Amino acid sequence: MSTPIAMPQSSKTAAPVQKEDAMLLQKSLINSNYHDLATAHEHGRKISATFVPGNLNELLMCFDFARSLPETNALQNALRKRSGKLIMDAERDGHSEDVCTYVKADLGMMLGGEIGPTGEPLPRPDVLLLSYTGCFTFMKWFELIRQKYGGETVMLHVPYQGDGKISPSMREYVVKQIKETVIPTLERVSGVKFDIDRLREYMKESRKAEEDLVWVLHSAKNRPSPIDGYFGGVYYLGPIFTAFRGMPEASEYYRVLRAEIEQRLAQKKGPMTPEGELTEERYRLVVEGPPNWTHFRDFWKMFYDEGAVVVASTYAKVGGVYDFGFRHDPEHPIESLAEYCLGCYTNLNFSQRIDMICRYLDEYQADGLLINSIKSCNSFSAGQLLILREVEKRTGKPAAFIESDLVDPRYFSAANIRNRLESYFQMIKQKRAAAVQSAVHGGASIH
Amino acid sequence: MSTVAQIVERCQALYDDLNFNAVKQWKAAAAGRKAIGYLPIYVPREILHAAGILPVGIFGGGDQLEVIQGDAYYQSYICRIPRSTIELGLSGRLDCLDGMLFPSICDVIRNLSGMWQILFKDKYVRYFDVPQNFENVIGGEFYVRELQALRDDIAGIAGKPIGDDALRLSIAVYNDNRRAMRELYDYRAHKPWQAPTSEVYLLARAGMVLPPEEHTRLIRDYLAATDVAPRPQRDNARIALTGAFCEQPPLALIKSIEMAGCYIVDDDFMLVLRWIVDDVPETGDPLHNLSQAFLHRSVSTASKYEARREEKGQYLLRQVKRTAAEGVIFAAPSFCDPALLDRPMLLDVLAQHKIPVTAFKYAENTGQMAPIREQAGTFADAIKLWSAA
Amino acid sequence: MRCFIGIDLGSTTTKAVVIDEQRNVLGRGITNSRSNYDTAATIAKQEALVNTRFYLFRQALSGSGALNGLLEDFLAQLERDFRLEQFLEQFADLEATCRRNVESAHFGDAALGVGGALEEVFKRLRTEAPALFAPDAKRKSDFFRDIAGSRYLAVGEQVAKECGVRYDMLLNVFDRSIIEVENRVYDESISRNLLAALDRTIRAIPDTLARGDAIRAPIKGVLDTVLDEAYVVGTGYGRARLPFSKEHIRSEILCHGLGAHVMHPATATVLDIGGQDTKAIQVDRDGIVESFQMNDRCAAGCGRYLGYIADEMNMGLHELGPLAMKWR
Repeated sequence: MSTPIAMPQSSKTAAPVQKEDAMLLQKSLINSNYHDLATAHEHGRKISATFVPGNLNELLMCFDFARSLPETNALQNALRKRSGKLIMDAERDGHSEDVCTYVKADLGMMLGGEIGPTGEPLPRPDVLLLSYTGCFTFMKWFELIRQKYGGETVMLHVPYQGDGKISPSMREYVVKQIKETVIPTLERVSGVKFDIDRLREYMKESRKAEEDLVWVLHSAKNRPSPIDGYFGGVYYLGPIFTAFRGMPEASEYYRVLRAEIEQRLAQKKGPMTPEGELTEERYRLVVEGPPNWTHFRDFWKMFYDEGAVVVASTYAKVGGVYDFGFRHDPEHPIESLAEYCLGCYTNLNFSQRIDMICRYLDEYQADGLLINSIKSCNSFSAGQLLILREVEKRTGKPAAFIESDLVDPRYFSAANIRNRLESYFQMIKQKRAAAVQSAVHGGASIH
Repeated sequence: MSTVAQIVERCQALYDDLNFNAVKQWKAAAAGRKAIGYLPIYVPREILHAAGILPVGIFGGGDQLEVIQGDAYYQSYICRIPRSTIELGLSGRLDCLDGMLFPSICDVIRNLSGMWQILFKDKYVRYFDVPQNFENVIGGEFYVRELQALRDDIAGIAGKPIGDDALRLSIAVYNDNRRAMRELYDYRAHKPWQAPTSEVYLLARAGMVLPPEEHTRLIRDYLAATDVAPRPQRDNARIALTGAFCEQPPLALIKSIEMAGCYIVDDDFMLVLRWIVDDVPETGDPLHNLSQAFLHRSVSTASKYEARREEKGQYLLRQVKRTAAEGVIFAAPSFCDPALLDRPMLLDVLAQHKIPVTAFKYAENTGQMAPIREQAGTFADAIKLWSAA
Repeated sequence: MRCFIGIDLGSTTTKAVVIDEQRNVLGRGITNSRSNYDTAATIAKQEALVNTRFYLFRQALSGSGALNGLLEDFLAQLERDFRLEQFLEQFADLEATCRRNVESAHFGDAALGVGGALEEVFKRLRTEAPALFAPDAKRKSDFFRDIAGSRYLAVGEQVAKECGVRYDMLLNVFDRSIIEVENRVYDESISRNLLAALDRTIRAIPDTLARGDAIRAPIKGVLDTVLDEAYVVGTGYGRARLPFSKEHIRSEILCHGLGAHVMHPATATVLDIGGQDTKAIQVDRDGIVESFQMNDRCAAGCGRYLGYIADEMNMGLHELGPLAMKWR
């Protein structure tokens, strides 16, 4: 149910940003987690840090860790327009201009002391769970933090699906690491003994959340789509990708979200944007690549101003692919964690990624593909031009290519991006008109 | 016995040949021969060799290859080696290879393995994963399974199984090759004026296209030849070069560093040749031995996780001390995630031990050498003038 | 008559085209985009409409037979004379603006000297102006800013020496004035300038004197014809600034694709080397865009860079192409 924020109509103040209950709920979850981190040590708890791809949240919960995710810290700083300065601080401290800006934003933040994106304290983590999933930079990120600030680091090597499938060997390797290195380390650092039944309980909750999330993601197959699976989607993914999967609060969030979307669907409403409901869905797109965080609103506006809705995105699978059937399995918790890590989007091979995109274009009745190529992220970006050509070849649908970055504001050129997007939307419109024309004439001609 | 000039000339010709004629000739010399390419930084070549297959190291197109098609696959902020490798592939220069191995070095090369599968559907392509967990029963066992999977694939290509005896023999061959490389590098560290890196480099590159037996002979021939041909000594600064383990600098860049007053007494070019630091046991289970060697007897480099904080940078430090280097030059390719992300940590460790450092970036087709000479020359001077004599 | 106008607001130049209902191109106009997109759009459109008038002149005059055999020479002369009239009008404006700017320039004691030198500069420029539009005059550019600027620089340097006045002060006055002047639109005076030019032309070509009325009538007829702008479409980087609704605005990628197709129906690929970016556009058999790629990161090889090269070689940008074609 939607509770619009009532504000007086005034030409002087900016229009109120439209938010729904689920959005507010997820914001309060995030803020409460930062508060949790700020007060963890006072309450005798330890702090863990790990990555969104391969995020073993349920496992960390078993040890009562307060859970930090440096990627989300970096993006929170970007949304609050602070990341530019942090990156430059890190570069001055000797980090190359060529490397990932998430890392630099994070290291820049740490250079400034133990303050987090919300202004509350963010103490240095006690353990770095180096979930080496889908991204080489992760390895160096935690090595860098460890080098400068100390802290226990434990490696979880999640092998890449080079052949497009998970082999028993890969599964066994990950399971063994979890059992024999990760769990003992987490026990030692936290002082809490591992209880596998606790893990099972958390996973039962995770399943509920995953079911509801997938329902929400699939709702975009409808016309009009009641959600935006990329910009709006970012809010939907927050809880499940970060510190909340396995918590009843997260399941509750997804329950509320699903109810909201069910209602939107019943009322044939379009997605909610910061400027209100999108009433006319003109273009349906699949997007590949992470969003830009420094100019998130401006970027989103370029879409909804044109009536463009993202019906599916690959980024929404970066913290786990749930929409093709995978669920955490309380009956086989450790194996399930391994399976989850191995299946994250950035750990899929090239063909799997192309297959996913083609499948989305078809199942979500999309008009075309848009690739947002991120300078920082070689894992996503290296080879996207081939993905573009392959997808066009296989589906016959048009694809467009824009370039920006995660959290470095210097790499977002609004004019260039807007020009490419506008041209792309007009191109789709033109093709549609031509298709209609030829259908009409084709049908009318007799000889 | 060949002279130094003859050996170097031969190696230069092999290095310049982007059509891989040496590989083609080797294949043509007997029926049914196969060759498989591999990218930096390390693959267990023993397995290929045991199947009678020639392992061929692919290190990009260098500064003589104009990249035309390759650039259509990559955005501007990606290094050049994948572009030139694709160029080599699309232009038919790699047609003599029956497959390609892509080791886990970084995300760009990782993704290139998938691109290769799409671009060259009829070739064998394998992403070869090495463990980042170094415990025998965890990473070690995973790696043994990886090696076995590779062995099975290669046997399939060769058309016959690869027996343990064959593997042990190949291990012996490569042990000898690694020994020869160690001899070469030790010799250079002792008498850098007798073994300039511009020549040592070409010898190492030759190992990318020659059968290992031949390469081993070539190295020893060179050592014998150069040792009896005294060359003038110079008052150069002794430096270790690091960061150039994947995309290679142009030969001119290496020469420029030397001309600017440096003896390069250690480097990490072609790590595959010296990945394993001593002999792999030639008896017992070969895969187990290769796995153990990888886990416990291999070099440190950016693409390899350092399990212990205290160990970070120590390998480089030990190399510096062992080769009596007076300073370190970080030469990394532009946009190289492994080298550039690692750099601040290594710089930190070197700074703690008061070892002078300088750094720059290059591309495999860098053309302007003057800035390199400026920087390397100033660095060499600084070492000479301000280090404790 | 109904006409349809397209305006391409580019980073370096703004172009306009006027088309009739049968898709015939009636006129084209071009101007430099300057700092003010609104003005650039208006002037380009104006130029295209003037060009349209000349097209209609040609039609009317050849229909009337008043200038048998002399038609092309006459029209060429008329155009030169019209350009001269336009130039003189804007030139007078420039002079007045410069005088005003001298007074407000804080030149102190030098003001009087600069004012005097300025007067001398403009006197000489006015005298030489007609030669700039003579039949065989060579120019690097047709834009007022470039023509007036290069002559002012040259003459100004001489006069500064002769009068013992500081050259940089003269330049300062010009720099401040040209921006005002080039952003003014002189649309009221098109007809007036054309008629004044007509007088010049008839004087210049004695043979036409006798047929004066037979010539003036059709021309006046064309000038009186209302050109009804039935539909205007805008494109180019500056299109967001065009004073019409979004429905009338299209991305230049679509326009280039469809336009190339209309001109050459077999077109498959269009390469647009613009002022600051390069685009590759693929179109299908119907001129519908299939895909496009852009390089808007680096202007190497784009118009701006080519402009610099032309300057370095002391050539006009429009001369680079023909020279390149002479390679061996």
